[in-house]
Amino acid sequence: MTRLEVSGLTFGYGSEPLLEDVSFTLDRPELVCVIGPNGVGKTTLVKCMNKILKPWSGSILLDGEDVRSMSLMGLARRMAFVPNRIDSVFRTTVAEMVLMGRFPHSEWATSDHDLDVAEEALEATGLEGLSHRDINELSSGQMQKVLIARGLAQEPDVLILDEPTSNLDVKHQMEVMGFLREYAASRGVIVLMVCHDLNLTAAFADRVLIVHDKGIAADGKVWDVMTEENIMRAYGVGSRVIDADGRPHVILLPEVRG
Amino acid sequence: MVEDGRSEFRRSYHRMVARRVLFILGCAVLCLLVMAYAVTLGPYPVSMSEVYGIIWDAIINMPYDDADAAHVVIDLRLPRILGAIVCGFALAVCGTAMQSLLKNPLADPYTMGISSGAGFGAALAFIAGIELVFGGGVVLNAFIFAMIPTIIILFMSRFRRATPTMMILCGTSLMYLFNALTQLFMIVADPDDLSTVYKWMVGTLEDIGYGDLLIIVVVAAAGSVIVQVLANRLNVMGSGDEGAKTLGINIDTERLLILILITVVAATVVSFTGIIGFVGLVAPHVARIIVGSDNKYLVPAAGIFGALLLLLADIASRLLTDMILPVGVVTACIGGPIFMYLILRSSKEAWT
Repeated sequence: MTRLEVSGLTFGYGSEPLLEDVSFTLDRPELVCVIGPNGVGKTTLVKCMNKILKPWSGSILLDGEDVRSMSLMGLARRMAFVPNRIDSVFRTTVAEMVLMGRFPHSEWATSDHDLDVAEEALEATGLEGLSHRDINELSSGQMQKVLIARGLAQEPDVLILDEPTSNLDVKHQMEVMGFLREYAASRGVIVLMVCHDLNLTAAFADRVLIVHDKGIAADGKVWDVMTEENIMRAYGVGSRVIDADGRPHVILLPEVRG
Repeated sequence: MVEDGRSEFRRSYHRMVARRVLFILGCAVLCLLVMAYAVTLGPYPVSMSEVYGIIWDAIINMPYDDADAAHVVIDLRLPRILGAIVCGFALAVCGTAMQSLLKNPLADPYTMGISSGAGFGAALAFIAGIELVFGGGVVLNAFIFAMIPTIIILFMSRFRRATPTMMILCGTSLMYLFNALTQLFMIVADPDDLSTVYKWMVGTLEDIGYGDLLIIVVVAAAGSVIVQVLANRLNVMGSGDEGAKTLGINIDTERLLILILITVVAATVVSFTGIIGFVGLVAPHVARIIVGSDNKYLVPAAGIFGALLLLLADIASRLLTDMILPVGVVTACIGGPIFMYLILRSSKEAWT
């Protein structure tokens, strides 16, 4: 099983650190959601893990190997990143975009195996009918699915997603979250996603990390992390957490303030 | 059933690839036909059978029956025709690679300041008689100044991250600077120099000889092959910096390296021909409308289209008038309307 170990991670954009001495370990094939208020450094945290950003100090070990000493190509074969959105200047078809996920595995030629993997990714995200459409003509929700499919086509051991459901409607949010949880378990992949929706997190995550005040404020199973106290502490809003079919459900209470 | 669906996707992908390859081959054949016809065209009357007799004699190294006709075909027509094809191909490949690299549909050797740099270097040699490399003359002057925008971008990248926007703004501002300096030189130049510089500033294939051609062919072929090998890399780079990084590309370093490579190719071409604008910008867009944005097919398609465009422009400039009509003027005159027509006609947005 893949093991991803973050220890003592410190990073900031200016002179002040945004994240300080962050440590946690992911070593199970499950869906891990990172939540926390705006600007707290959730996306920054995941971008430090895949070398988009360079941490000031600390280490990220992938199966014991420091990602700093790995080549970008070597890392790309094991760790995929699904950005929240991309700006494509030129006309690119859905199939071409998803096939880009095969780049770390087969740089120049597109083999039949690459086509099979790409098609499987398209089917998994429900995009099979759109494969020859220009991505610039898609809705932002469909575009997000294309990016997820590209990440899947990369066949990673660790899949990192930055708010993959932010532009999806409720039905597709549920579908994508359910798929990611199932994908993690069935493929033995660590799926780490930044999420803004507390209830989506509560309903689907196997494990939740709350980022708050430069570090991880809470880490664990949904029932242990999604509590009224933790939500008050991280977001400063009152809430009531109820049981919805065995899963926590957060009801926000506007009149209660921290 | 799933297996069937799968092979359907594979089939449709292969069909699309076949269509694109067919289009590229078709254009290549068309280009060869136009070239074969072009050698028979010109004010000096040489019949088609004579032309090919002469070329055949040249290939097998036989003495010519008609020395005047041989001079016209071998020394006057062929170098221009071959020059048009090679330069058109190279400029279009450079434009294609630059557009993907900088994620900007306006990027080409002209907007990146390469052509204007070459123009200024040439003006320096023509008007002020300054040679940067002793005995190097106009060509080396032009080449060195054509490299300057990229050298400045390289230098700047040591101090801050070289983003595509920074690169293209840097190139464009140097384009204005070089153009202004060239204008300044032209004010003080005497009339003879002025017409030479002027001709150079709009680009001409008249003065290309076989020695020049050999250099251009070698550089252009090497550059095009490398760009073709990097095609998938350019695709990924065009899809965003962060995405490219997580797909295994060291984007900042590689972007600079590829930019240097393209600049060398473009600078070599414009150093010999002068500023031939528009091919590098238009050919990639026209090809993109037809074969799509995958650089594996776009690079050769744009190259061949560029070759064809420049060849037709040169034919027009040789045949339409008796006065000197530089090919650069014709390219813009032909390319501009074609481009606008295609923009209006294409129902889908090729770029947003």
